[in-house]
Amino acid sequence: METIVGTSNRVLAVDLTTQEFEVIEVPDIDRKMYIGGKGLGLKLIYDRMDLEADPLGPDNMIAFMPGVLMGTGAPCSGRFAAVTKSPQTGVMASSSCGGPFGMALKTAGWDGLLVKGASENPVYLVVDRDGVTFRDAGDLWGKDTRQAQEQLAKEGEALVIGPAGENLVRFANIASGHRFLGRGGMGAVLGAKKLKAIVAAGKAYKIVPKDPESFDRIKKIATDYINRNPWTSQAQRKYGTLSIVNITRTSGILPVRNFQDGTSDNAYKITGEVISEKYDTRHHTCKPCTILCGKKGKFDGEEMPVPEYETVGLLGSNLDIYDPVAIARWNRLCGDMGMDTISAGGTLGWVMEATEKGLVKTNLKFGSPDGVEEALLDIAHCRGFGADMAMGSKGLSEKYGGTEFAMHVKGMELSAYDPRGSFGQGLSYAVANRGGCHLSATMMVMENFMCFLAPHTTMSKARWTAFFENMWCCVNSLHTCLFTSFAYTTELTIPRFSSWISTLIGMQFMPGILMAAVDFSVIYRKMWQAVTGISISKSEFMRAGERIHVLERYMNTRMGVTAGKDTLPARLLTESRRCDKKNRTVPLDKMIAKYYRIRGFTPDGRPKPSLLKKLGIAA
Amino acid sequence: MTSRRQRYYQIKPGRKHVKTAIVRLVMLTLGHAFQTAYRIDPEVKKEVDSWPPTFHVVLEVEPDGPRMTLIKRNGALQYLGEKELYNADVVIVMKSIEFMFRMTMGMMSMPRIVAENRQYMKGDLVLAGSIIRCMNRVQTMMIPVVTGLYIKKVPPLSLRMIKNRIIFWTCGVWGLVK
Amino acid sequence: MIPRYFEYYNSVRVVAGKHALGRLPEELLRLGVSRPILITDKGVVNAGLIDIVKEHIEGSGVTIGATYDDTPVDSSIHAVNAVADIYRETGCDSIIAVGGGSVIDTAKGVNIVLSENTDDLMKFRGNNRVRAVMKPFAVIPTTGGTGSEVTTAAVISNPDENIKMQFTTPLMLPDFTILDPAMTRTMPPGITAATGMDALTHAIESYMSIQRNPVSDEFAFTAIRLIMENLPVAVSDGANEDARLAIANAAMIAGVAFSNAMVGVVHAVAHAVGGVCHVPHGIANAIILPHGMEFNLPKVRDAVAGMLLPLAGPDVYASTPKKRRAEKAIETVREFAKELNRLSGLPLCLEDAGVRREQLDRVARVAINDGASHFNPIEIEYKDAIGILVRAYGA
Repeated sequence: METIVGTSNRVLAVDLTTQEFEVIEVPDIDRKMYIGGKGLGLKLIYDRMDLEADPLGPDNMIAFMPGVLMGTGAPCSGRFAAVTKSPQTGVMASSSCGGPFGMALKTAGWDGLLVKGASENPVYLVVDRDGVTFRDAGDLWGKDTRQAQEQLAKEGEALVIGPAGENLVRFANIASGHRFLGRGGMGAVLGAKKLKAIVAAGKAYKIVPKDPESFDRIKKIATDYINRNPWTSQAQRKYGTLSIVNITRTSGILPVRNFQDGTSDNAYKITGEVISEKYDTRHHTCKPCTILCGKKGKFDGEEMPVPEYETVGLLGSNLDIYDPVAIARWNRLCGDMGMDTISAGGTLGWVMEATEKGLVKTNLKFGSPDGVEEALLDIAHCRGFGADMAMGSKGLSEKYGGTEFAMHVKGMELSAYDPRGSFGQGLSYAVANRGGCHLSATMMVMENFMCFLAPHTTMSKARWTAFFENMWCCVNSLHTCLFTSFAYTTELTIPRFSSWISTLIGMQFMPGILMAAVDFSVIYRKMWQAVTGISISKSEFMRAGERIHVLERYMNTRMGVTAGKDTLPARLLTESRRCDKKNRTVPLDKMIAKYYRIRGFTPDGRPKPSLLKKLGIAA
Repeated sequence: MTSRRQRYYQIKPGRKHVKTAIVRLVMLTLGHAFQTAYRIDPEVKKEVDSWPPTFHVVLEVEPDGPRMTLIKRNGALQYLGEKELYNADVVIVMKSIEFMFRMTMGMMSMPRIVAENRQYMKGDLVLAGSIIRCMNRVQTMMIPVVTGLYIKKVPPLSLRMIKNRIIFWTCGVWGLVK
Repeated sequence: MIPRYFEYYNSVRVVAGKHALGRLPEELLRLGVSRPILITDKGVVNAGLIDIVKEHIEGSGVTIGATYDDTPVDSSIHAVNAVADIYRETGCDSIIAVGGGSVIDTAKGVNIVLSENTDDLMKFRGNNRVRAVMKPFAVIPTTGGTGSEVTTAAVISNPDENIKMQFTTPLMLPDFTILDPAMTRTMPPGITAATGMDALTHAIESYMSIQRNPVSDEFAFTAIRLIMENLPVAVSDGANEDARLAIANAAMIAGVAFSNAMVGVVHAVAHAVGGVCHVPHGIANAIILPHGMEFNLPKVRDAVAGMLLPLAGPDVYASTPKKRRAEKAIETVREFAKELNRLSGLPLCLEDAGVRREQLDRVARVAINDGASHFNPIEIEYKDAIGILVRAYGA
């Protein structure tokens, strides 16, 4: 087996219209400026794509980018990113997935795959070390993601869309193994290109870091951190992401009845602690992984993946349903159909409330599991009212009215964290590049999980939002799992040996000092350095994160995003909840103005030319 | 109109700033003491380990006075300041700041507070006994000489208790034992 | 002794005496209701007690809207929800509980569910969580020992979660209770003795509690005196209506005392014995009582000494030297239990009650977590609980 030292720097660009492919070489300067993964994918698309292109047209491009760490055996590095212009939001979307396709693509010798054009007939691609072959997918078309993957298993690791993607459901996703490129409607992009699947025949190359000694050293430290940290080694490892239910329900940020309430007395039934005991869960994770948060369990005697927290939040409590078996079944159905469970849950939540208010006529109602399964199938196949629901809550509310309770930002449904119990998360939803995304700055972790920031103030929220956006852009470009940050940031010497209360004071009152004093990104940076052999300083690394974020923002502003679109659903800004004693709404305006100032954006939300110049995005 | 208002004047609820501040400080110390005791006192550890894996305890003063939030999660008992909790497993509510203050000053013992109905509990009362036993151990660890003012039965002085007191008043009180 | 501070509350109208049941329709109409649901259990129905109630409402304008007779031995949340559904379906407007402790607790739970208009009782666990205006509620006790008709607490089990939920709120008190000797006439001697000892335990424990107050003390005194004088008669001669009435009254009075002064170590241990080994509550109380008194003696010697007066009468009290009175009181309780043993076969030790020695450890662990232990004058630790149990184990 041949070896690739560091990175191959070769990206495969495929044109479906002409059925040709070419190889793009990534220059070292782009590597250092954009790290890899998501950042490099954005750069490739920015350089090549017409930003005005229709997301569902042939001009849209989609990039699948395994990161620098993939294949080296770094902890939790089995993840890859995808970047495209989203049909759900009309702006750039990036997504991360832990399926086996990434590893296969990387070990086939490619640092990325860029797909453009559109095919006339259904096709699928087979990628190997020499390039790509186009195959007819007539018999695959219409199959669900599990069947399609079984059929393609002998050719390599597959990336497939389900019926939802084929029918251009705005929140269709792409499956690889039992993991998904969930958000942003990427399945519809492939569906519009008539591309049913991409198969990568890997294991052609072995990936070794440029500096194996320092890599081994840093890997050992990183693994120690993960195994020592209570969040990664206990909460996530034992109960998976469902361990979060206990936090959100007690912090009052669990969405209940389409975000009408922030907690429920019944929510204890869907906590990870209860589910793992009742349904005998076992590990079922990305590979390689050190944290082991993915789970599967026996629901009613049937082995099914345990739903992730957001699924339980949106398809469960958001619909006022607390039956783990039903939620697990819908989760698997969404997976088979190739649909994003978050957006599906958000959309059903809107439909249930609209039915209650008499705007639409359906048999769905809060608290009742009847009809949900049929509704999900209808959405996937665009049958009847399902065709309307396939547009998501934004499309629905524009057609039928009721925009004030359509819980989306820029067209993407909010994730299962109610910002009225976490103001920073409200800001991070509003300004997130891909829409209502919780992973953009993950402020709820600081505010409600670790409680290092007071959730009901606006103080220093803008600073930290910008900081974490930059940092997570780096993490998503490496590409490694975001959960590693629990360990890599809090197990560093200073945070580890300071008390909770001093960290709270530090983060709340002197964010600048803390950002300067603690090198939060040290593990990530050293890992990247050891693999690529390119040296990078702390400020260069964080600058690269900023560059990636601002580039995405810049592309979005050219696609029509302005300050007016950086907002939250009216419900979050005006209505208070039953569970709160005081009236609580998100004071967004105050935080957003500050955020633009810190970011160096103009008041209408565009990156200033001087900022673009400083970051080297535009001349 | 004005004169009537002056004649039949209104009495607004004032605030007991000093007492609230003192209670707040004591609660901070007590919270850190719980956190420390879980690490260094085997009896507290045994009690806490018998609780469910994730467990929320709140001690609060009505109506919105100081609050002490303790969460057992990820194999540790964590003190999280005044974090508001919805649906906490056990909430011990003191009916007024006055009696919380008296309790912190040793003017009233916890059993006295219970007997005089100055507090009430919400939630799972089965574990309330366990929490009170922990509280007794923790207060014994915190308070050296006048322990008897706070709890019913003072355990005999032991070398371990002296050691724990020293650890607590040097490191634990700052929240460094976690 | 006047405590520095105390609270007393009891809002129950008591209708007691021979043919007291005749007042049932009138009392209901006074509350403005005429269509009660009757909650009871199979035992009460088989003993023909429902027929007595039926007789008394004939020709009065009160209709029994529904009769629920499936109450399980442990009042469970399923029974509560079932009754609430029946209540809503049949359009009833008030609740009557006819039966023992579990029936009354179920009825209290039903009242919460209906008044708060909820389907989830879990929310109201704990003290004083209920806020709603309650439905008119009447209790007709048939066992005469629990005193549940005047207490502010209910314990309802949730078999799904395998827990026992405790509820305490003064709002749960019934509007009125009817003590009619006819309702307890059919009770066999064994159960009469056990429930009588249960009531005696309530009275004695409330007198030792840290929440005792002058009002509850008086109630406790009267209850002890009535029980000591009448229980042996009621046990040996079940048809004696005077003795039956006295015991029913004593149980109610003891109930008033302990719902205001709370109970202590005896109940903590007895609850655990009942929970782990399924020994009936009255029997467990009877066995533990003297040992619990002995355990508390160092802290409450004066109170125990004072109890000798109602326990043994003024002659014995006067002839016992002051120092010996406390021990004499405990001895009197022991003798009393022995007498009941002769009359009805009431077990005197845990071994006779069917407890196995290896269970004691678990019982002790449960006992120290029991809510009753908070009101005991002495902190109960594991070794104390196990000490009491070991002493109570063999004769």
